[in-house]
Amino acid sequence: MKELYYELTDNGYHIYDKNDPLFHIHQYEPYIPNPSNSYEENAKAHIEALSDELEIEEPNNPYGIPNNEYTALVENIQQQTIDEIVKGVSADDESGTN
Amino acid sequence: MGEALIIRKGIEKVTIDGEKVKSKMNLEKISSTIYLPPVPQAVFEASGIVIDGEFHRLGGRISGTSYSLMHYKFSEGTWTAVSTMGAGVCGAPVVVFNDELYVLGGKNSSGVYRLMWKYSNGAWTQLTAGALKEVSYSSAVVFNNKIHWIGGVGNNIYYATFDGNILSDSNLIISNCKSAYITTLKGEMVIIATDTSYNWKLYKIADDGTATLADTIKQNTNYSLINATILSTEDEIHLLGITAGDYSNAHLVYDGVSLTQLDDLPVSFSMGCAYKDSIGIHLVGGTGVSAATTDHLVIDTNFYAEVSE
Repeated sequence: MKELYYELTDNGYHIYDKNDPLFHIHQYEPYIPNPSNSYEENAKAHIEALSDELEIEEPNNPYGIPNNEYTALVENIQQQTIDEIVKGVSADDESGTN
Repeated sequence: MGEALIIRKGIEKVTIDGEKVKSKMNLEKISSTIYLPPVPQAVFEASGIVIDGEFHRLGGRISGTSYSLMHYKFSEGTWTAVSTMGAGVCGAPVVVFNDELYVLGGKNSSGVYRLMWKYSNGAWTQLTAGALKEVSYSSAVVFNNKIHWIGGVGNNIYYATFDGNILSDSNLIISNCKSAYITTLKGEMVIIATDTSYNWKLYKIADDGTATLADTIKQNTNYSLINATILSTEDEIHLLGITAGDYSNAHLVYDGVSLTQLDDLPVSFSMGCAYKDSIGIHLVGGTGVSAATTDHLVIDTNFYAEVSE
């Protein structure tokens, strides 16, 4: 989870993440997103925009595929297996006892 | 996993299954695959870039889009996260321009980025030079002191340039095109494209941004190159893993004149990253039919074994 904060400088601002030392944005002249606003207003708006970004979800399955895809895959396989069992039982049930 | 254990001792001297290779004189090319330490995170549609001779991978997607800039230190055989970008990004053109890393657009799970970023001294700066056209896919190359960017939407390809300060307007450069990739070949700027009839074509790009058809590389392929990993060297364009179908293991090379199919890749490989160094072509990540992998392997292009007398 991002926990962003900003530091103002003479010609712009930095944005950092308390939880990620590798996160560092540096906006300075002439790269201030909205030059008509103050650096502080820009920094706050920038943090708000960044906070809307989706957080990455680490896959926790053995195949490294998206977790939702893995869940769907497993459910699909399980349903296929059930279908095959039912189909097999029906096919073997020539006497019609099931 | 690997068919041969190869320890790098230098550009020309390696040990292959215990046999020392002395030089390329009187040597026979051998087929081998080297598996290197896997990438820590399985993603596809990541962006690869070589900085100061070492490979870096940015972003990619799994459930969401990755923010990570990863660095592979060849000498140590380690992957290290060196930075977190301000945006989760995949499919983004990444280039080194004026000694800084530039990211041009790209996309995340919910939309397309139209702004550019640059990375320098451990910090990311979002540029305010203008907005890229909203496109489905894009690529970029540095040529004649400018970044040249193309992006496709519908069946149209748009082109823009960035000189470090000003981003030009995006102009239509090629129509009736399903996918396109801009690069350089033999000192010229080119676009390799798939038209709407699945013909693969080569266009040369002039300084004024006009495209001229230079070659029809292959006709009626049934495949768009949209999922291929395209690797450019000075004299060749490698098309790796054209799609998740019949060509998922394909390795084709185009030299501006002819298209050659080489040995199949040892893995299915589409939407991954590739780079070439003195030991061969590295394949990083990517996907088979549907799953992202952490594979990091080298297919030989330079390995030779001593011919037994």
